[in-house]
Amino acid sequence: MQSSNNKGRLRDYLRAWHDDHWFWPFLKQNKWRLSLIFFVGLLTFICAAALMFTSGYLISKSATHPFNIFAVYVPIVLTRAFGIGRPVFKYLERINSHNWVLNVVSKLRVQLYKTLAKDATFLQEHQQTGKIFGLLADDLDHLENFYLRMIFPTVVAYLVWLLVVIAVGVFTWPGALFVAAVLALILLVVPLFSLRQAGSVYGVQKARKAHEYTAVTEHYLGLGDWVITHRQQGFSAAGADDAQVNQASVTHQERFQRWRNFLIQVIFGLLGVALIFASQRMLGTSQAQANYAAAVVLSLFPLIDCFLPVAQAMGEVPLYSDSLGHLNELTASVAADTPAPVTQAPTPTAIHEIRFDHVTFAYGPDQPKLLDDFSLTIHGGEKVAILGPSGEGKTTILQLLLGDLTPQQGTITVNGTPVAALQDARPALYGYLNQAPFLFNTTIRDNIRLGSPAATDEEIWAALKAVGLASLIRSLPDQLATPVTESGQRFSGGQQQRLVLARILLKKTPVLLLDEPTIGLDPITEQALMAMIMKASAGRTLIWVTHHLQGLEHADQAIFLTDGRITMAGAPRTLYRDNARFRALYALDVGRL
Amino acid sequence: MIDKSLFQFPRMRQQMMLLSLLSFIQAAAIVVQAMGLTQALVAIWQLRKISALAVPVLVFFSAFIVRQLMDVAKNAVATHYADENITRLRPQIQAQYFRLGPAYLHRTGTGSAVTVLIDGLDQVKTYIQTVLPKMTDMIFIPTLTLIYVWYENWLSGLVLFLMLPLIFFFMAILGLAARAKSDQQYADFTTLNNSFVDTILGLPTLKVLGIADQYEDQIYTVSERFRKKTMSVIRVALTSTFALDFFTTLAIAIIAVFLGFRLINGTVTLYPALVSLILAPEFFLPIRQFGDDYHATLNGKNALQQVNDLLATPAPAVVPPIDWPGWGTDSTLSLSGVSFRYPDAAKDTFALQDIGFTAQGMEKIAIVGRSGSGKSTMMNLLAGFNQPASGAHISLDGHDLTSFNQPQWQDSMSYIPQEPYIFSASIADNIRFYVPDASDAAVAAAADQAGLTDWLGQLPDGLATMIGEGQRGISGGQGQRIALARVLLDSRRKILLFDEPTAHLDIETEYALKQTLVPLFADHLVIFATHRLHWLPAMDQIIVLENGRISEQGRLSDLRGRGGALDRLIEEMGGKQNAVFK
Repeated sequence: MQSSNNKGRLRDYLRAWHDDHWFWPFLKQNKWRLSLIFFVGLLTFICAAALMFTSGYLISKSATHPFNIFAVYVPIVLTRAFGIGRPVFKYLERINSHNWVLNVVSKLRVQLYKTLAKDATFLQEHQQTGKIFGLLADDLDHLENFYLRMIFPTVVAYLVWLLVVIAVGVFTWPGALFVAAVLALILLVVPLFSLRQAGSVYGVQKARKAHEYTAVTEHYLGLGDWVITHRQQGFSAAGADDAQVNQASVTHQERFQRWRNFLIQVIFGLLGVALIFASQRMLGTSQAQANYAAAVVLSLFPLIDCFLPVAQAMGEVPLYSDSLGHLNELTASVAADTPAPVTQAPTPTAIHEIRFDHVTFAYGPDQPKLLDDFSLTIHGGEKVAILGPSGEGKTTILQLLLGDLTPQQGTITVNGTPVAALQDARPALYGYLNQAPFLFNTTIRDNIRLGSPAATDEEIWAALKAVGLASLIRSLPDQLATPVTESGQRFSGGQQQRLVLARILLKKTPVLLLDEPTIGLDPITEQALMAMIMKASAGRTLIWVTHHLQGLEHADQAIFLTDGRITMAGAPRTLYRDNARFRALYALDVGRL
Repeated sequence: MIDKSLFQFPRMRQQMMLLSLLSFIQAAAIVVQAMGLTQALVAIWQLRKISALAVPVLVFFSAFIVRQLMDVAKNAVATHYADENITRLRPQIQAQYFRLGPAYLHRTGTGSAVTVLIDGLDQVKTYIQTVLPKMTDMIFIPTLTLIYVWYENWLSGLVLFLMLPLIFFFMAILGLAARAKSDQQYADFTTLNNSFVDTILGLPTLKVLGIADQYEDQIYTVSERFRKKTMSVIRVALTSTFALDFFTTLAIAIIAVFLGFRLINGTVTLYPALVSLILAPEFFLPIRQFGDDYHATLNGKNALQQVNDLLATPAPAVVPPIDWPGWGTDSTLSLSGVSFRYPDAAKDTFALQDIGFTAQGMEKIAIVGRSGSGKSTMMNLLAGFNQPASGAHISLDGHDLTSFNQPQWQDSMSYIPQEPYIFSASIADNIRFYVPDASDAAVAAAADQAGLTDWLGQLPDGLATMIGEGQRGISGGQGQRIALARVLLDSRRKILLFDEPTAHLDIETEYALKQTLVPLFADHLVIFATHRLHWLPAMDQIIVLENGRISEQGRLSDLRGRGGALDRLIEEMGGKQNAVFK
């Protein structure tokens, strides 16, 4: 990512934020509400300083033994007021800022969802891993912290800075300039150093951490081989160098932070000393004025709580910037991928013919051709099996037919209409089972009727029966109301696949596209499931990608694909009769002994 | 907040002494700093000359520097100690995973095991380095400041002292309320937060079903519900911060007002009054900081607990070395009465029960059965990763073994699962895994035997091609062949354990791999777990597993046509179909 390569210079970060859709718009939209929150934040520190100011004054004034209590009546009341004001304003600021940020997060989530939903290609390329989606969700969390830990404290600190300078300026302009300059050290110079330091190590630390993750995961997956070779040392060393390098880097960074905070405190301490002397010079002339000396000096110290977080927050900018970079790159890539709109045709009522006409497809100019001059005609109601080694374009055929991918050459039509013109009709046309079945973290019932919300329980049970899960689910205490738990972990891979299949069968689309519906199942289950699929898809057009020949006896056509070309094709019975290779594979697959 | 196991860490007492000393010096510096500052302010108030300020300001600033240096020192000590412990724990965790073996990792999940090691230790580090200095600060700073304030002005001291139980009382009440509230909402809370990730992950599905648009509104509604829940939890947490702040500032205000009255009466002078006022916020600071980080340290505490639990898990015993030259043509292995129960399974529910068979010389043994019949469990047991229950008899060339977790046995075998171990390195280094010092020629020969030559020919870098995460992807068939080349390179490994090596491969790849594999079986003892029945004719002995028990065993020719378990299995797995094409 571009933003992680930089060397921690401010302008690199500003450039990364230049074309932003995820951060500034929300600040602009809510300027008044934000101003109010900043103002309340400001009041918190005003109260903190004012509490010490009035207390200091109260005590100094009282020490002059005034005539009676009414001489210090105002400071007494103010002391109480500021004493209560500080926690109250702090509470209000925290509550409102959290509330506002969480509301922004809600909007950001919708924006992320909409952006992703727009881009079919992006989804297609990344849906196998799912990892990238999780990372994008993390990026939104980082943005949440960006507001809470960076924007709010920094803006309030700068406002306090301004106010302090003005307050001093009322009495002495040179003094105000001096204070402005000293605070600039704390609020600008040191934070910029902090940013540069963090920027110089962020990219390396992130890369090392990722490498450690990979190395450790690999070693854990291969633990069996490490155990039988008794190489405990080699196993324990997994990622150890990454961990060590990162630890050294973090140690270095922590040392930097310690001394940075020390430096800020020392500057602050010197400011205190300067203030003591200045008070003596300016206020030490009459008793009435001297009463204010303690007030002025003491009001300085609560402000350190306000200024210290700025440098710390600045050190986190590389992380936020990185996340913002990802999200903006996503927006840009979606804008680039969105195809020109095509006039949409109405949904076909029945399927007469699906046709691939001399189709050639590769992911890029230098990539291998996954389909090379591929032609295929499927008549309505036919059952077609597609076989071939993995990574050879079997899935591509389904994605082209869906319209998620566009071929370089050739056309794909349904009843003579190009698939690009059937994108609106698509949900009603195709039922598609991909290789990574997805179950939502809700009940079995809600998962299955996702595509057809009006489905009755009877219809759901019928679909479950068709995929052979009815008896299992009837045995569960909550039956259809059983939650599938996160990403369907309650059920085995094969069971998840079948639950998703039930969802697709329930949605009565005229075309079914199934990508490896039986992978990972044992032959008994595999065979039973194929029989059920055939029964449930009676009268519909079925195209299924498979790596086994189980169920092939039900197919009207079988196609073997190698290097993007059809190497064997025909009705399975004919193939079985005429083709020795097919017979050999078939015998192997069904375990004929 | 404080985990007791922390006190069992090495050199803990020493570290706490050191931190206590630093906190004590800091507390003293805080008092001296306040004395200096107060004297300077009193001097100004008394309208004295600027020279009168020199000493007090010097005292103030020196003490201020000492105080800040103590912060640096405490932070350095705690961080160093945390790092030291992480450096100590990391290899311990790795070694523990090694002893517990792959079967354990499989049960807990590789992902969460990796998380314990990497993220868990990070959290433990943060925990140690935050909590230790805060503990010593909380002991020394309030105590010392209180003593001094009391000494100068007992009334201010009393006010501060009386605030303490009040603060702790409210902290406890609110802490309990917050915990109850969080516990009650935690389930909702996580569900709602995960709901977004869930919807994003399921977006391709929603799009295919044509209902992606309907979910936009739902995301907003759910997120807003999440916001409201979160706010109600945050509100409780913030209320507890508010209470702390409130009592702190209230105490300062009360002291200021009390002192004001007494100053007017003339019962106190300015110095003790001002010094009390200056020290009052210092008195409360460590307590406030301790409260602020309560939630932040919770993760670290949980992570430490996880690490402790892991290290306390009993590891299987290693069987001592025996006088055995390795597997040969006249070797014999016999098992009887071998059972296995998963540690978390209910009593008397055995995944394997009463397994017995004999393997001789370079025999080929198939273990067949449906999914879930115990094939993988048995292969894990034979590899030494699962430990048999007591009562098992295992005899290897006359040596009695209590389990297969035995160095020489493991030196003689190789275990090839469905997804063999491929790591980020060159193909050659992957093949060299068992014999790291093998020559290039030997690696090339093994690769050729495993049928990798054609594929390697297509790669510009041949055997030097990098594979693994983020590198060139390899197919399932190629992975199996690399694992095979790895075994062929090590002539000591005469025992091959296969666990469903071809189940996930497409039929043509499987066919091609079979052509390579069968000839290589010749001079090996092969134990082959599968539900792909076409392997059976290549085997000498068939063991049929049903629900963890052997239901039939013998030669293929003897078992066929007997109407037993194998015949039933063959019938169910493919027999019905055979009729279709006749």
